[in-house]
Parts: sequence; C-alpha cells; structure tokens
Amino acid sequence: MEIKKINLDRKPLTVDQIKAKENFSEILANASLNKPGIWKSPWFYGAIGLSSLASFMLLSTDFETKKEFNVKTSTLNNNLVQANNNSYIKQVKPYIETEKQVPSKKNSSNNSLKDKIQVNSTLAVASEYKELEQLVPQVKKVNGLPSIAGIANGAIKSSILKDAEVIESGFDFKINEYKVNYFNGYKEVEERLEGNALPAELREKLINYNLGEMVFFTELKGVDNLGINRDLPSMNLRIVKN
Amino acid sequence: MAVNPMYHQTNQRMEEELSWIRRAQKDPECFGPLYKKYHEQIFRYVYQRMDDEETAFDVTSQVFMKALNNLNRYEFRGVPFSSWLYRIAKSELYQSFRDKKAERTVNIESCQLSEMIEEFEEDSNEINKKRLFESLAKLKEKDMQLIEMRFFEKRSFKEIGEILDITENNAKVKAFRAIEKLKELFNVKN
Repeated sequence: MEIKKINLDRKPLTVDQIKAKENFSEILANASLNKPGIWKSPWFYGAIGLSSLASFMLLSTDFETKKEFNVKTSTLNNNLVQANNNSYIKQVKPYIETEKQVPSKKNSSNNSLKDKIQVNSTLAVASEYKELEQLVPQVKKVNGLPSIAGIANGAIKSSILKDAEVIESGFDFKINEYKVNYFNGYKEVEERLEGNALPAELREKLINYNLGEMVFFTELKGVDNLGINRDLPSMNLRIVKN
Repeated sequence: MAVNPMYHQTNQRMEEELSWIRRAQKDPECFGPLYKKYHEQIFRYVYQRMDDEETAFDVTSQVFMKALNNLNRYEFRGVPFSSWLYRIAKSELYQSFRDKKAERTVNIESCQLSEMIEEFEEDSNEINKKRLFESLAKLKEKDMQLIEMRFFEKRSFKEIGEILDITENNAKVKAFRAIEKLKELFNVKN
C-alpha cells in the first residue's frame, strides 16, 4: 500500500470533540440489524445435516428392503426346488387348487398325528408356492436378465422353448454355467450344464414331461466383458401349451 | 519513551474488563462501558492514518459495530481487549483504503521529527527536518506503520506486537529494521 500523503502539524482534535461523536445507540441499532444470514446459523446446518442423514437412512432402508426381497425370493426358490425334488409339487398342487377343501379340524379329528404334520407341512409349502406365484408375474419379458427368448420368469410357450437354443443375457455377460431342475419322465433330476446352450435333448424332455410344471434354471454364472465372474438371477419358467 | 496508560492495565482492571465483555456477550447493551472506554483510542488510531475526520469517525463506528457483531467469538488471551479492537480497526482501515473511501496518510508533528533527528544523532534544524520528511514519504507502508506506532504514537513493543499479532521481540526486530531503512534513506540525501 502506498502512502499518499504526509501531514505536518495537523490540528489535533480535543477529547470533547471526539466524545461529541460517540454514537453507541446508533451502533447498537445497526449491529442488531446486521444479524448473520440464516445460512450462517448452526441451526441451518443442523437441519441440512439431519435431512441428509434421514435421506441416506431412507435410501439404505430401501436398499435393504430390496435385498431382503431378493433373499426371500431366493429362499422360496430353494424351498420349491427342494419340494420339487421330493415330489411335493405333485402333492401341493391339489392343495393349492382345493385349499378350501382341506379337511377342517372337526373333520380331521380322526386323522393320525403323522397325517396332521403331513397336511400342515404341505400347506406351508403351498402357501410359499402361492407367495412365489404372486411375486413372479406370469410373463415377464426383460432386457438384461438371463432369459429364454426374452422370457426370464413365468409362462413360456412350448413352441418358443422348442426353438430356443441358448439362454440369452442382455448385458455384456456370457453365461458359462447353469443348473436346471426338471422331471425327465421317471424322476425329478438336477442337471448342471456348461455354456449357455439349451441342448435339443433337454428341450425335448422339458416340453414332453414338464408341461404345466415349473422348471428352475438356477446357479447361473456368467462372465462380464472385464472377465469378472458374476452370479446371475435364477429363472423360474412354467412350460405351457401353445 | 512514554507508556500508554490506557493499554497497560492492572490485572484487576483486566478482570473488570473481562466481566464487561462476558455481560456484553449475553446482552449487547452492556457493551456501552467498553465503547466509552475505547472509542477515543480507536478513533485516534484511525485518524492518525487518514486525512478526513468524518471518514475516520465512520471507520471507527464500523470497528465497534464489527466488534459487537463478533463479540461472541472473542476469546480472552490475557491481553487487553483493545488489542482485539486495534486488529479490527487495522482491517477496517485497509478495507477503506481498498474501497478508496480514504487515502493512507501519515500525520506527524514537528517535535516528533526533531526527536527522530536526535535519535539519528544529527542536528535538528529545518534542513534535516525537511530531509527526514522526504525520507518518510519514501518508506514502505509496512515500515511506516512500525515507525508510526513506535515514534509517533509512543507505543511499547509489547503493544505493537499485540496489535500486529506478532511477538514482542519480533516487533522490536521489525521496528529496528524499519528505523535502519529510514536512516539509509535519510543518509542518501546527505
């Protein structure tokens, strides 16, 4: 900073002259007007902080809910696969269709304890089965998820399945392994296949012996374009007539 | 060297001042006694460095307004409250120079020039007074403020240090260097 001027022997101001200029009331009034803006208040930052925290927690909860949904779906899938393996599906289906006709306590008073347990466990599986059916829409064409001719879950026509040669994946995934559970005409089987091909023999068995039944494609594994292995969502398909 | 009695206070006075500050932090109206105590001092500090009287009063008002607005941030560090006010005043002064509301001015009395010439061990005649006056005009502002505080306002090194937010020893060293520079400028003309 440059010194602009030097005064020599300027007439000094007296104490009274300076005192006459005291203006505390004016300063007090102006100072109270000069209150800091709301954005400088700790309350403002407190409110912003709390709302951010709440948003974060809300988003986290949403994420957890989605995760829980996926886990639940997966558990139901597993239960159904297990039920299927134990030929429960065949027992369950009549109960689903005629759930109201399940014998009441009065009528079943003569049943043995073993029968009661059998009925209760069958009903539990039936209830889960219905829950799964509600969770999984009948037909779902999706882009990106593993699918057969664009159908990832729900009903698939036998003619479509007949022509489908591979399990597709819309993203940059290459499916390199999967497991399929189905009825081969004699028994429930579990087959693990490499690659994404649906062999003609498999398709034939699926169409001939599993019409109206659920077929489960699980443990789908893929590799993305970066070479990272990924677990892909399962497919639950009901093969229906054309 | 004269000592500023308003600045160097007893511990009892400092405690009394601190109690005023504590009260003023709760109720701004209690700032009154502090304003009364320091208004003249701060005004003289500001007016010493500018030409216009009215602007000096305005800047002084601004200093106290800032002090009042920021009083809750004030922390007692064992030095008089005035050192905090001087620092605000310094900042407000420079702001007014930047805003071109005022021009940096130095106000000197003839007797102060004579004292300085005697310090240089020269004759205090009119020629030397003129030479010193011209040498002062060539000094940089940072050196001038030290000479101003030490020789024209008669402040102690402790006070200079507290106003400039430097140690007492540093204030001594800086003031010594400033006077050496002034001597050099004075001797160049010789």
